[in-house]
Amino acid sequence: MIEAFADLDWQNAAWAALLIVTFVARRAPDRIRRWRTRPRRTPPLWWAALMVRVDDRGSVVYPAVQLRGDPVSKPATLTLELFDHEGKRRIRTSRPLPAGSENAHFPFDAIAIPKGTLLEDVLAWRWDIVLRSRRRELKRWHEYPTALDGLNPEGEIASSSV
Amino acid sequence: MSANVPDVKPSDRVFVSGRVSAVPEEGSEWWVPWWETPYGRWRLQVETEAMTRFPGFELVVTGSDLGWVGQLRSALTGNDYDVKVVYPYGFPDMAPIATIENHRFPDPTPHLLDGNRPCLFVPEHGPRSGYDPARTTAATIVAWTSLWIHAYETWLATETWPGQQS
Repeated sequence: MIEAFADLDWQNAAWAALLIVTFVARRAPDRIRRWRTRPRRTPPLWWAALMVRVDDRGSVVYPAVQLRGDPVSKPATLTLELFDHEGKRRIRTSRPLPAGSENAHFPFDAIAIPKGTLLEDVLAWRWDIVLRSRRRELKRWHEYPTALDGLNPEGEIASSSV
Repeated sequence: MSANVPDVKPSDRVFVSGRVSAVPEEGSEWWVPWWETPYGRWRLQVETEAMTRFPGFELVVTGSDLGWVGQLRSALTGNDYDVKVVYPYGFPDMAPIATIENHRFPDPTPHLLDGNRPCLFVPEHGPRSGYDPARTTAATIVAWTSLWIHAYETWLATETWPGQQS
């Protein structure tokens, strides 16, 4: 009697397994297709530009970063890192970036020229703009400022490397 | 955060990297006119200095627009042309628009848009041979308009538009 019941359970289990396999086999292609075609979140696009003003004293510079593109979704940090010709980081300055920031001009506090360094040296260094959210680096731009040297004879704004 | 940054002065030197534009300072309304943005204030000084090449032109504000009005005299015929150069809202990403006012152009006049707007450059040719947001000023646009008038008067006399056709 017990053996008969055991045989019946095996049969039921086999039927159940067959039903499950059939169900999965029918649904799986549909699920895979939906997974493949589901809309994926595209990474945000940002553009950055650097503007550095130097006043007539020439001992400090006033940097600002322009960030354009998608809004920054979470509170973030905007950092300027200056690397000298040997790749050594010489200056680092940060400022908070509120969530929702977009298409704006973000000024930094004035940067004093390090002692023993010329203004031209600092301007010729590599300026990295770094966008961070908590500890994650979202984006880094390498910038080399060029001087806007007034106007050429045709009334166009002339620029030159430092 | 409000950084301790004094306003731009004419004696300031400016260094840029990337495509700097007249975007408003953080915390400002998005619709502030371009000449009230940090880059725009500096740029307007440069534009004004550039326009000293055309002493007859003056800066005017009409409604929400800023622009230059003045006269250009043709070296060929001595005719005067009233020229207006208006900065669009999106300046400098968008080029200033030059128009020639109070002049009746024959129909059709080649290289003329909307009846009074000389076609000065082809945007598809890129910034090297046309408008460059980082480089081109209103003075450049006035100079190009002057060349256009020269070409227009040549066309009136010869029925041939001089120079490269675009």
